[in-house]
Amino acid sequence: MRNLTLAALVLLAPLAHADDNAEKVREYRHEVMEALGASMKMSAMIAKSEISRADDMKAHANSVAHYAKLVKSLFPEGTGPDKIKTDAKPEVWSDRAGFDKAADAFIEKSEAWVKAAESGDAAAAMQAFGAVGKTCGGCHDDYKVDDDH
Amino acid sequence: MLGALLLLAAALAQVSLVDFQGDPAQGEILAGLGGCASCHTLDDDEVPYGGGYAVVTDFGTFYGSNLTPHPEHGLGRWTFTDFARAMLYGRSPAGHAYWPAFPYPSFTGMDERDLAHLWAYLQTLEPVDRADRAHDVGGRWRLPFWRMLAFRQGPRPTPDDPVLRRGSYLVNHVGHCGECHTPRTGIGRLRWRKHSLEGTDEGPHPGPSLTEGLSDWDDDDLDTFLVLGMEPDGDFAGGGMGSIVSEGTAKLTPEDRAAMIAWIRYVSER
Repeated sequence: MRNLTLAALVLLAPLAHADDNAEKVREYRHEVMEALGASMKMSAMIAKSEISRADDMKAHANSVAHYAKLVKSLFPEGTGPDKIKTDAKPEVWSDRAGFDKAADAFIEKSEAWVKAAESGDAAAAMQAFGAVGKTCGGCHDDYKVDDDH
Repeated sequence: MLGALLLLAAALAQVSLVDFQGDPAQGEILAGLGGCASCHTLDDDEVPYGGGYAVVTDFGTFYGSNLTPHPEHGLGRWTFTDFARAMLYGRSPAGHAYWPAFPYPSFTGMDERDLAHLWAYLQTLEPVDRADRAHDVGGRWRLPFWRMLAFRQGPRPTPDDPVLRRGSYLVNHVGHCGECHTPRTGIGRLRWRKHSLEGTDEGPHPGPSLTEGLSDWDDDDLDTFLVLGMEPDGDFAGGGMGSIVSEGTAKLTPEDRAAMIAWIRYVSER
């Protein structure tokens, strides 16, 4: 009996996940994006030689690469603008293939950044950092409401 | 009319007299700042500048032309004078007026040496064997009237200050920032005299306000944006603007970026 309850719990666990409060999902993904933004800002300070912590670039690249892998899972069904107040555009869900492709580009470019940062080639690291930034902006162009407007 | 033609002829003669060898590396930076590739390259093309990109506007759909040196389909048989005439006066080698989807109303203020750099760069491109696609737009008869009403030849007026002059040159003419960031009249003329860089929601590539919109950015924030494409909140420019930064503004000298910023500030405050 106990085994059965356990089995039921294990089986039901994914359902419990799917039922996560949409507002909490939004809040959580917002914090992930903020963390990404913070890593990118710190990297920019290094890139612009405002602070002499070139070695930290590796840490920021790794942190961005880790978070990048979460992005696709942060936008489950039921967390779009039809259900809650969010800056995510409906296209995240209506053009899922395009969104996943943009998120994959982010993963790929952030992993390239890690490699470049760890190679010790400062110029390559800088270029790879810029390429990551473009994937942020490229995805936001199509899938995020622009708060500048 | 005859007077205008003579003036044009004289101006062209002057252009063709320039004995100046352009530098392709300089031209590449200018092309990056101008974002030429964004309208003259198809998204999935491996080789740039083959044309075919669709610019969808209220007036019709325009297709970017092939800028590679292909003899049949590109600019392979053009002379530098042909190129300068297209950029400065918006006319084809045969003398036909171009639609202003090709932003010659901005390029008209460009310096002949910079045109020579650009031309030298275009010569280095790999030829692409693709014929230009005809624009899907009617009412060609409107074009001469449009030019009369909306096309002003030459550089726009600036205060007598070298930094502001340089800034206006880079922002208004080479960068043609206003083509996306300045509102237009009903006929599509840029309202640059009174509403320069105030932003617009219309057109194929609506650009946000650079006047109001950047009031809480300091000059350092603006420079960071022009070097890295990063906004003060850690977000980044993507798409067309992202490429203009990585291929253009990031490669300018710090002095040129400062001049662009000075011009944007000047326009915001005047």
